Parts: sequence; structure tokens; C-alpha cells
Amino acid sequence: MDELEGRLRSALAEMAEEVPPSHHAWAEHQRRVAAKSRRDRRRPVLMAAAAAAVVALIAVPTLILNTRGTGTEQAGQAPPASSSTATEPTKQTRSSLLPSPKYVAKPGETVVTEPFLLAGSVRNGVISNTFAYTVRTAGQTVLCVVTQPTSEGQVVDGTKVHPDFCAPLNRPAQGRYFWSGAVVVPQASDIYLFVASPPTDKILLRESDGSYAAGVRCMQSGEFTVFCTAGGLKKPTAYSALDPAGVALEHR
Amino acid sequence: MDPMAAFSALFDGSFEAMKRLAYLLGADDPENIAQEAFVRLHDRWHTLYDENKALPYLRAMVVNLSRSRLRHLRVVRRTPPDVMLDELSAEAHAMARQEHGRIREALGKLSRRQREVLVLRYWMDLDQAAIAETLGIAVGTVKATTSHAMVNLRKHLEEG
Repeated sequence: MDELEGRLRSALAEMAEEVPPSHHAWAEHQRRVAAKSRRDRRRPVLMAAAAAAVVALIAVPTLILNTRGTGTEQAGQAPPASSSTATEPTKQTRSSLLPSPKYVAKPGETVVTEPFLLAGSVRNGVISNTFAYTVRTAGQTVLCVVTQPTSEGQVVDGTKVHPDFCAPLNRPAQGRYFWSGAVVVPQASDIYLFVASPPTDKILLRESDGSYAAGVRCMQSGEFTVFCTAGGLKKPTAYSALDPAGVALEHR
Repeated sequence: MDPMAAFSALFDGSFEAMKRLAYLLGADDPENIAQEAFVRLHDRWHTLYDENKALPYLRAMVVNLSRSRLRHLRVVRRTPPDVMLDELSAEAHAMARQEHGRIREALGKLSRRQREVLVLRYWMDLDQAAIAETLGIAVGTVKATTSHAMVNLRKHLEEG
């Protein structure tokens, strides 16, 4: 160690000693954790309220339009069966909100994973959902994202809609797990999607500001799992695939 | 060990060090930064329940929160490293040796990353790989930055 290094080490140690000890640090920590916990508990209530408002926004106009009879059919906004009686539209509206999303494959396509609802949005007064799904076509598996009005319900009809984009998924090399790089979905508040082979159980990613976030399982096939992040993340600078025990399988 | 007991033990063993790290990096509210880092660690404790993962996470969090704090302070037109260190040196270390005062001043003139590398290397005694992990940079960058930082530190000391 040269002389300057020794002087620097000594000066830093002395500077660090200038910081007075905190006598109630643990109590303050407990207070902060409790305050954060209270905030987090309130969040689902707010989200439920927001979801209820969205449901009302969708359901009420649909009911009104359907009970008006043929007007809806002319606008092409509801299936023909929904307008025959006053009670059927209600069933249709409920069933379009509750079932799991389904994908209607185009000729030559095979569904690998059914659609997963990533996010909802309102643009120019139209409420839309953004779904991700995976299909196999001409021997190539692709991850596709589509945004469609909520009036289409939970069915993504591949014969009618055009996906916003599709990314090819290529099997990783031996000893690797990620099928491709991160796929960002700008249509859904910059949600990031990661595709990884078993036994990947979770994706841990580091954002550009240094904070960490996790990707959760949103679609699964026998060969891979698709993980989704929450929306609004900063661009990940690194990410890791973890197995169920939390052991890192691959870093990128 | 029970996970929360492990967390509590880590808190007891590392809180002061994290606070001092924030201070040496130039933050004017080191206690707040250390607290915030531990709250974030608490949130992710189920995935980081291992000292080998938790400490690097804490260090990285303190570095990043310190940077954010310095950026904020620059926006409100303050220069915290120099102001804070001068104030504290006057108040708490009136009798400090002049030598340490000169090094302190020279440290304040280094770039943010050079200062971070020197603090992590010569105060925390981290090796180059751990510094690289903490700062999210390559080991080669750590080597080069350390070398440039020492050259600049020597130069500032000679000028001063």
C-alpha cells in the first residue's frame, strides 16, 4: 500500500467517525415499515375502486346499447345473440368480463399459451385491453401483443385482429435459460416481458436507477414461462433468472 | 435463524456502516438514506434472505439513494459534499489534523464515480468485484476509475 493510500484510508476512517450513532434507528425503521405497510394495504382498495369504475364504464353503456335493440348490431359492437332479449345482454356482458381470455388461431397457427391481460387503457374515449399470447406458426414460436377495445371481450380473434407486434422466441443454448431479450410493451405502460425455460421461477431485474423489481409468472407452456413486470418500470439494466430456491440460473 | 431475526441482526450489524457510507458519498441526510435502504431491503427480504445477497443490495441501494439525493440538491442549487463536509469539519473536528482536511477537500473535487470507488475501496475495503457489483459497472472500469481517482487525488493535493 503506498503512502497516499494509507493517508486516504486514515482520512476516510476519521470522516466516518464524524457521523454520530443513531440511538433509535430500529424503532424508526419499524415506524417506516409500518407506515409503508399501511400505504400498501390502502392500494388494493383504491385499485378495486378503479376496477369497479372501469367495469361500470364498460357495462353500463353496453347494457344501454343492447337494450336499445338493433342499434348495437348495426354498429357492429356486439355479437348478434346478445340483442335478442332484454336479459341476454346482461349475461353476455358478464360473461365477456369474467372468463379467461382465449385466442382464436388463424389457419396454420397453433396456440402455445392463451392470452394474458397485461393492462387496460383509455384512448380517445375508447377503453382497450392489451393482451400478450404465444403461438406457433411455420415452426416458429412467437410472442405477440395485441390491443383491442374491451367491446371485443376476452376473446382475441387472430382471424380478425392484427397484433401490435410479434417477437420470435428462440430456444436458448444448452445451459442458458432466457429465450430472448426483454420485450417491452409500450402499449401497456412499458411492461417488460421475459421468456425463460424451466426451472425458472422468478425474474429479478435491476432498473436503471439501481432499484430492483421482480417479474411474475403470467403465461406458461411446457417449454417456457413468460414473466411480466409491473408497468412504469425504468429500463432494466440487468436481469436474472432464479430457480424456486432463489438460486440464480442466468444473468443478463 | 428466523428470517426476521436475521433481518434484525443485519440491521444491527450494518445500519451504522450504511449511514456512514452515505455520508462519505456526500449525502447530507445519511440516516434517512440508510433507513430507506433498509425499508426497501425489508420489502424484498424473501428473495434476499442471505447475507451474500443482502449486503450487496444494501450497498447498491445506499449508493443509488445518495446519488439521487445529490442530484436533487444540485437542482435546488446546493453543493452538499463541500458544504456538509466543511460545516461538519468546523463543528465536529476543529482539532482534526490539517492533513486529513486536505484529503477531505481533494475528495470533494473528484467526480462522483471516482469518489464512490475510493470510498468503497479504502473505507469499506471492498474488492474490485464487489465494487463493480455495487456500482453496476465492469471490473475493468473499477480498475481504471480507481487509478484515475488516485492520480487526480494526488494532483489536487499537490495543487492545494
